[in-house]
Amino acid sequence: MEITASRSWPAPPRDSLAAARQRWEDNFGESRPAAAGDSVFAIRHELNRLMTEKVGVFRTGAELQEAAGELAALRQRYRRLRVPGREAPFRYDLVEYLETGYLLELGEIIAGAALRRTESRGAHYRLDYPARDDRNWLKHTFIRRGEGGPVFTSGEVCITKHLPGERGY
Amino acid sequence: MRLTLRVARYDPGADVDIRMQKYLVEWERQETVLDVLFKAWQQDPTLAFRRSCRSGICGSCAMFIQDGPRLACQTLVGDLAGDGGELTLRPLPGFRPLKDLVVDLDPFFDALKQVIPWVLTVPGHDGRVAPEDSRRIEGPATCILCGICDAGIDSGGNVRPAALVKNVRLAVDPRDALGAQRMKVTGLTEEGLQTFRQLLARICPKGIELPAVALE
Repeated sequence: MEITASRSWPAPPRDSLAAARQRWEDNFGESRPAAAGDSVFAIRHELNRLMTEKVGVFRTGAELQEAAGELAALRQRYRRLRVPGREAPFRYDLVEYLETGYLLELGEIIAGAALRRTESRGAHYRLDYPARDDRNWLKHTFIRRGEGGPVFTSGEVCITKHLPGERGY
Repeated sequence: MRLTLRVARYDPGADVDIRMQKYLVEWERQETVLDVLFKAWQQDPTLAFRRSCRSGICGSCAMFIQDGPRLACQTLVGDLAGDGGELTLRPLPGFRPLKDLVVDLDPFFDALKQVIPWVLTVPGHDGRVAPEDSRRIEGPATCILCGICDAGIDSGGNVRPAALVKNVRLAVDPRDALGAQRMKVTGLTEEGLQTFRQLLARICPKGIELPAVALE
């Protein structure tokens, strides 16, 4: 609670609910052309490969930058997909479509946060920044949804009993 | 290698009965039935089947595969079919089909309620269990509630197979206030229980071996 108490959440854009609803309803419409030869299965498979190969525990800025570009391209492809039907019981293709959309968002969040943090800490290991950097990065990363994708900001860490320091085993 | 999957399709809004649909899929030696079912699904995303963990722990993908109820994720295609062969998938028998391979599991879970499927703790028990008691509980506690025993064998008693397994697991638990008295509800004799033990060992995808339990 202390972490967030000092920080007020930004108000959501006024039209965001209406826009989200419109985006959702558009996905079921017949007006959108289905991308020929593409599928949610192909996009999800490529996303899996990309996240494993370029956004794993050991990362570099160059690879994360490439990943960000490829994620944007996957998102473009995802936007062109048409969901082949309305909600009904046991529509696992709809579930797959929705999950893949959320996975793309999470992929952007993970890659973007990792690219920003130019240090190594815990399971985030930047081969191009192998040292922990408390001077610049003893910070939380805050992420909120913006119109063009995730928006990243930093917040101070509230230190109470245990002083931060490099781990030694 | 190639394989013809014959899959039961059923759309409650359009079909009066199950119809079989064929899918031609490529497969490799190490693949499971669930792997090839995913390939059929990618050809035809309207195909409905339950799955979650893909590793024999959630029990979602129980279905009738070729000649018996099995977990799709734990059954190797190569054990049932060869190159150019055929594999038939149907919903679990004894369960009401809801769509394609998805069945209604509510009666299955309701049947468990018959045996009060939780530990009724002995008042004041400190909760500790001796290693030898723990080993007796371990077999039936491995149950993942997939429904395969209910679909494939008879318990021979008053409760259905999965409920009987749960009942035995609780009857041998030293923390349970009812303990061995729980076996009364099953109406089974020692002989009947032994028969069930053998049938279960043959069909259970977790290979559950029921421990000895006193019938009063």
